[in-house]
Amino acid sequence: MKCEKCKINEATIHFNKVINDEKYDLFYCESCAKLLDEVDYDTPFSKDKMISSLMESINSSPLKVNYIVMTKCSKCGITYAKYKEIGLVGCSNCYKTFDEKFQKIISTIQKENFHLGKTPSEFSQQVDINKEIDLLKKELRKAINIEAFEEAVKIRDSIRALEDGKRHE
Amino acid sequence: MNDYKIRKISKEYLTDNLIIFSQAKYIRNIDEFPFVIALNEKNAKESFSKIYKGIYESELINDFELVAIREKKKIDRCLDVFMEKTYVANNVNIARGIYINEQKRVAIFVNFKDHIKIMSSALGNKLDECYSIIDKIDDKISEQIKYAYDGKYGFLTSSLMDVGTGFRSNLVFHLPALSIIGYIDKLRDALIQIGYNFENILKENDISESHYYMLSNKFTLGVSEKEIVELLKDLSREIISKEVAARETLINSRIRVLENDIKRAYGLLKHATLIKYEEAIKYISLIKLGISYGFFNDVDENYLDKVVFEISDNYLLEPEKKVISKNDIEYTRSKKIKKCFIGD
Ligand SMILES: [Zn+2]
Ligand SMILES: [Zn+2]
Repeated sequence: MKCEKCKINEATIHFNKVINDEKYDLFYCESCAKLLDEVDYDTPFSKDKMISSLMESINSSPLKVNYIVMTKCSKCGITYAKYKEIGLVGCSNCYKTFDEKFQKIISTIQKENFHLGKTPSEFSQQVDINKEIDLLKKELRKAINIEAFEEAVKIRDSIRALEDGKRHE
Repeated sequence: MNDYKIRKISKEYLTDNLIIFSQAKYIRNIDEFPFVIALNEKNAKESFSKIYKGIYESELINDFELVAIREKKKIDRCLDVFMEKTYVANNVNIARGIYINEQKRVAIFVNFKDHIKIMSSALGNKLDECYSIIDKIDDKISEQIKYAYDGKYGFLTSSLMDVGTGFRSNLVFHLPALSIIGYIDKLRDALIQIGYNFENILKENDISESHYYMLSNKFTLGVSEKEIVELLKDLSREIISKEVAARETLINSRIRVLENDIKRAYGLLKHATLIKYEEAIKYISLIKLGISYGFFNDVDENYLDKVVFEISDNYLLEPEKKVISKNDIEYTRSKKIKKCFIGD
């Protein structure tokens, strides 16, 4: 198949494009595809995009938006505005840079805001602490479920203490 | 009134035959590079070779074949084999590829939406097996590569929907009776409410509604991999019992229409020489339903479960051949399906 744009080269790239709810299939060669900035970050991420913009509209006060929009991740250079636009995180450091904003989003789209389960092996020296934290997190969930909030607060503080200790090691 | 005996469908039979596909995936990123969306050509290449080295040194490489992004048809086929919908069209020039072992249905996607996505699939009800396969691969890779990981958020992913375990598990169900009696939408709503995704699959061009549905976990944070698997299995038992009840309702309330539909489907699959994808899926589903009622003895059901995933246009396209007509595809499809009729 020939490229739909230049009609010379062989089409090697397939884009799905959605315009006004209509789905279009486009077949371009690589050099034409490169020129098409608009096709970047296309349909596969619509769900992610939707969530980030939805959350933004619920959560933000105008003042904060300004501040966040100007914030840039020092590692990958992505701004919060860019994250909102594409719905995808730029790097692991973004999680620290946009922590406050991400926490809000995570708390609505995920079950909890802390990790349970597998830990990679290079964190193995921390495995014991992590296991303890895991256990405490489970207890925390139980406490919350039975609405034992005083107990829950205590458990949460122990988790925080362990996590802080880990970070300063 | 009935001039044939209807087989009493056992629960064991349905448990084994309603779940036709299982899949588990891990989503991972490397700490030292930006995520895929922020990669430039140079660090894309570096991250790709880093992952290559990791896979090579973990000795996983012997089991896998690398398919590069340039081989579009092969990539599409992989996506079909693994029912993977993530396809990243942006920054087209970055180094990207899939390590596949098609026989074992194991794949490692490199630099698509995330740096690494490890997935394992199997026909039938085999979630535990799939999970254990990817877990071992993940362990091996993590010995070579430092993943993006955080004490609080767990594995860091490009989408906040995957953060934490980065673990997704899927089960594909064949639910013809629930679909025919119109209970599927209610079931979907209920599942979504308790935090699961439930969607119709095997759609091509969004045209056909099939009787095949995929159940998957929505939450990846705050719940461990093992819990995700166990919860999904619990839920699958409930879904199966609903389908059992629906099959009983169906056979009692509209036996004649049902028999007619099912036997026509049988005739069509057996005798048509050209067949469209949507038609094929519809008829295969009905025949499978017919088998459970004991209508036929000459159909290989295991083959039907397998062939369902191998008759999409993309799958039937031979990557080596340049041009292939619609007729060729429909002919190959009908020939492939006909192999389900045994004995004769
Ligand atoms: Zn072109
Ligand atoms: Zn970043």
